[in-house]
Amino acid sequence: MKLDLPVMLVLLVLAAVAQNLLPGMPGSPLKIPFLSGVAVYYALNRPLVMALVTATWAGWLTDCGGGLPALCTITFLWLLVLLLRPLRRLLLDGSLAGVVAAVTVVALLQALWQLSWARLAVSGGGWRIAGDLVLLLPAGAVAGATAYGAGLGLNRMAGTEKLRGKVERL
Amino acid sequence: MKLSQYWYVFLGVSLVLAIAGAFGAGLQYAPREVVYPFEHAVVWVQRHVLAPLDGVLRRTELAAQNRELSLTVDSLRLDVARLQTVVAENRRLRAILDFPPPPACRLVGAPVLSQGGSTGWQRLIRLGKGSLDGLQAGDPVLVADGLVGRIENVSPHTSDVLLLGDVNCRIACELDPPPAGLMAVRGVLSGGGGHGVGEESLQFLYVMDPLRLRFLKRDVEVAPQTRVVTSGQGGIFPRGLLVGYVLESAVDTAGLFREAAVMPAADLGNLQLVFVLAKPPGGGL
Repeated sequence: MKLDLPVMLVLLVLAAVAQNLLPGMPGSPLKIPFLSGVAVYYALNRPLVMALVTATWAGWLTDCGGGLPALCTITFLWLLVLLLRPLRRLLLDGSLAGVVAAVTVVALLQALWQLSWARLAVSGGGWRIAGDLVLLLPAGAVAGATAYGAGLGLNRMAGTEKLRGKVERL
Repeated sequence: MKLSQYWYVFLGVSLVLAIAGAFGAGLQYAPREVVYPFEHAVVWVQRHVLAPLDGVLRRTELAAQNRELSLTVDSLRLDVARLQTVVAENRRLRAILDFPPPPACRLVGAPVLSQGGSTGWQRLIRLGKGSLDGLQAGDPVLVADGLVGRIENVSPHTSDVLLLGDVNCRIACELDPPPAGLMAVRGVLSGGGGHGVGEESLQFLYVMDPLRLRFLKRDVEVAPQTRVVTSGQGGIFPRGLLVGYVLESAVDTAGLFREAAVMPAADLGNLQLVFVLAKPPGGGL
């Protein structure tokens, strides 16, 4: 339990580094949303307060690293966490399939949110943006699977996953 | 205090920091500083471990390249010696005409940490140097081939550079040399961003558009391959930095100005080390 914070920080830093350094899906300039993947993993698998802390930092890292206005992605991820909590049953209790499905959709919604909030001037017209958004679906699936694998692996290594029942009651 | 209460305190602190950063309390780019050492470590391993290993495997090729570079260095030394005479002459002429001396800029080499930022919406690169190295927002960024972009924002150890290819990057430019009979032909250069090949269908092939040089004089014939350089107007970029070469030009749809497609001189997709033309604190160019 005491290692929850270090595990969360390690996951966020790894996700931020991977998101910044790795290219997007072939054919698209948009990055793979690993940070949102971590936020969704926490929203579906960890207590609400931890999920909100993760959403705050994941959003802040995305905003300040992507030239977006402050609070843009933070607001989106907070709403997302609050929306996903009641849907945990529907999303298979945060299993791999549930996280992957959720992040696939979230990647697309997040891109639309960023476009509308930031009013970014993006060239290429509607069809180009549509192509980029379609390619975000597999990118979201990759991010979801990676975040689930890394999250579960690190939490098990740290022993925090075994105490999940206790954590849920807090 | 129960452990869950610590989490609520941490949530409150995180939120306060994020909101303070949003209102410009100097914290806006704080998370970037947290990630910087790790990004820098990855790039360091690539440059200092993997690249030398690759070099060992390509020894013959590198020896040939080394010989070629030695010749280039000798040639550049001769150029520098010749230019020093020109600089001295320029200084004397400025003194005679009572022109102010040019601002003392310095070139700061900076490694490229990543491309595209964390979202990919904007054409930007992140450099591993920031305000602690004397870099400021607005500083021009270039490579040996030409201008690359300008610094958009800085944190103590990193800076984000908006590339020429971004639609939001606008630079005052002119043709070099100007067409016969004219002192200068100036326009505003902006990035074309990226687009799909073909029109009116879902696109998955990503290519860079040529840059657009707008608001040129309508009746000027612009020859292909004419150099496009910064005009120095606006005070952000010094005059004469090579930006690219004209591909073609045509009168715009409104029929008021001429517009040219420009190919960037620098390879914007393959940047590893760039130079920042750092202005003196509070100074223009």
